[in-house]
Amino acid sequence: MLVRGGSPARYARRNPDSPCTAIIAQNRRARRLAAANGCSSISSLGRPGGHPESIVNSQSESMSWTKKFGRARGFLYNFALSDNAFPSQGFSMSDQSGVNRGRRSLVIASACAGGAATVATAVPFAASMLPSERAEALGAPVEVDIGQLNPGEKMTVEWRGQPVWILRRTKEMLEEIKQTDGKVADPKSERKKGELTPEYARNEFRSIKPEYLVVVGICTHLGCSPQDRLKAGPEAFDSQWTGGFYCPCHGSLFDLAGRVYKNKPAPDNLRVPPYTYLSDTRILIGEDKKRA
Amino acid sequence: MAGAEKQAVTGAGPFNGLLTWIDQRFPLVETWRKHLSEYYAPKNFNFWYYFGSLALFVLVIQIVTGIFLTMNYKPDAAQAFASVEYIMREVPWGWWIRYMHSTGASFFFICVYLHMFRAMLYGSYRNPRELLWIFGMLIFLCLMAEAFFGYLLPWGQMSYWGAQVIVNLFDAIPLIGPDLAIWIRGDFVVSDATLNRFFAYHVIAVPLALLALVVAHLLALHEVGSSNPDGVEIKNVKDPKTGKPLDGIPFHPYYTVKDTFGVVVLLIVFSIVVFFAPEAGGYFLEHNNFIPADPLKTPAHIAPVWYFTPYYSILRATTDEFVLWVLAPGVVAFALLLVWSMKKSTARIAVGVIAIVLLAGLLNLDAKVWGVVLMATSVMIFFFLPWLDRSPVRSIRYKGPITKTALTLFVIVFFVLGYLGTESVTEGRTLAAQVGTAVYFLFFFLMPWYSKMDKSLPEPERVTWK
Repeated sequence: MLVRGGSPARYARRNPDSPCTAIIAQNRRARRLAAANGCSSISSLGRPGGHPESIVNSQSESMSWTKKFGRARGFLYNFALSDNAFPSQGFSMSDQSGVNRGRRSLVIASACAGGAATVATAVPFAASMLPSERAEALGAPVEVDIGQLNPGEKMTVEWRGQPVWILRRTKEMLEEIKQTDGKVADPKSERKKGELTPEYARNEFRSIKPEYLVVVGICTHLGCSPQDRLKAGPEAFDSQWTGGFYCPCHGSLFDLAGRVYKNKPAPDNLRVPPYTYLSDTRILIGEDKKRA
Repeated sequence: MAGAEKQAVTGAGPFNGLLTWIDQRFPLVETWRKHLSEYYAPKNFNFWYYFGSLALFVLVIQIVTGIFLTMNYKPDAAQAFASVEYIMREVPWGWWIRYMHSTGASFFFICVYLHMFRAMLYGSYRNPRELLWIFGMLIFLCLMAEAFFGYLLPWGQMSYWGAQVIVNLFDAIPLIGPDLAIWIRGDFVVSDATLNRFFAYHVIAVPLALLALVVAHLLALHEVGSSNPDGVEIKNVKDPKTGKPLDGIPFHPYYTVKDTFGVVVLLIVFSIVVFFAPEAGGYFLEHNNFIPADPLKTPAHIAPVWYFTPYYSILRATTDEFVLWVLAPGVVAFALLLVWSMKKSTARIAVGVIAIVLLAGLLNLDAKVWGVVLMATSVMIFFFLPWLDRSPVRSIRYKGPITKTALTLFVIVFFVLGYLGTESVTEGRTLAAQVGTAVYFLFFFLMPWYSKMDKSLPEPERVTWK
């Protein structure tokens, strides 16, 4: 015979004549014994016929959790303390009143500690997925010779695994940039200033020297690399195209200063990496001018 | 002991002794009966009921071919592309195993999409099969993850830029986005670190989850029993003598034989693709993926593989104008509809608050964020089907004209979005995708109302033959 149903108190109320009810009110040792025996050998341990008095006792004892903590937490406590967490299913093999409170507190405490330790173990695993020291080191600056670049030409160098474009703009190209001021979303590079445009490039041409544009050739939408459409003239995507870049993935457009056109998927201008001129023909990408 | 009480196994000829020995130590007979020989499935399964077992069969193909591919593949950015070519050209039968795997990926999605469509046709997700449906949806998510991770491995141009675009979707999440994207990649761009970890996900992490979910899916199915094209419970009418459902037949041998026939037909079609059209015109294996990955140059036209294109279309359709003129008014209209149909004032206030928060977000955050949100919603919304569908009947056979029209429209839109996702962007195509996106979401969001008001026919007592 198993003790089924909610708390021992409820059980006792429902089954006043059951030998289990008697055992509920028994001394601790007997209760533990009963629990160990699945309450099956109760009759030999307990006095037949329940004491109304002792039923009240056990009732007040177990009801107090619900009273003290409210129904939800009372249930939680019941869940944690009792192996009879799903009372109506009759999972329990023992009488709930056979609880050794001190031991149960220890079980809860060690379960909490164990749980916390398990969660903490996830940290090194998650951290192992961050860029490694080597990947961080590869973010080192790149030195580029731009002496061979003719006006109107573009070169691509790799920095941090990303394409960085260096475009030597002609006078006409610079004129065209002025014309696009009304078409672009952020003409003065005011959005996400620190991240996208260093202070020294926060001008109409988005560069230190107007002639040379240095930008990361990665679309700010979803990271594709836009294509050159440097020459002005009608294009499928814009009949009054004044030169710039076209992203094949989702159709974003950028002008010759890497400024994004309005109403395009890309939210921001192309990123200008930190860079500095080492001489007239050499630039260092990835590092600003050393603060003297 | 319980084992000793078991009856000896009979009918297995010379194996009776061995099977009895096992059965006394393992629930062999019990399991066989519960899941096969005494699992009663409705007798009126039709064509649509092939695709569950076929999906399971394709899963086996994928696992077996996958194991053999890992024997020669190298998850290293410097060697991956060449190792795939090595498998294709120099490993004996390597080309066959690789084409089976790549074709299997597409066939897996074909089977799963048809399996899901079956559930939508016949209301298989309805009470008490909600959890069965949820397990199925989790399998679908795992499958999408598996396909996405696997697609990076050949390290071709489409592999590389596809992964770049999808990982950058996480970048759109406010605040944590950029760091999260770096954590996923393990680098500042898609690189060797990314390839290596995607390999780990693809060959062990996701398959383990997938298999566990398949088991849960089958256990849940056998707990509640299979639905059928009439959407009526066969459990309701039982033979009073035997207690077996009158409209049920044992899964084995009846449906094992039927499903074997399905497997044979599938293998014929599968073989035709593997041997004669493994690239399927660029739909199963994209042309650009035969070019090694180049981090400095995006291909002129990039598109995901066909099974992701409907969601990809939704992502691309979400422009600033779409957010302003369609999404924002849509949120307002839907909130009003909810408030109108709700009785509790607290619920009404909650809807109002959520709508205002959403509206503020729509008007302030980038369209990029909402594109990602819509794309995620377009997949996750399937989870809620059991609660969105409020029709008194399950099967399309007894549902009314509104539901039939809605489902037809949804299927058309799903195909149109899928097609548009494979094509490059033009103004006209964007507009079409935006209309499609709107219809796609209306199908789900209005379902609680149209499914309830629709005029349905009475369900039969017993299953019918049609």
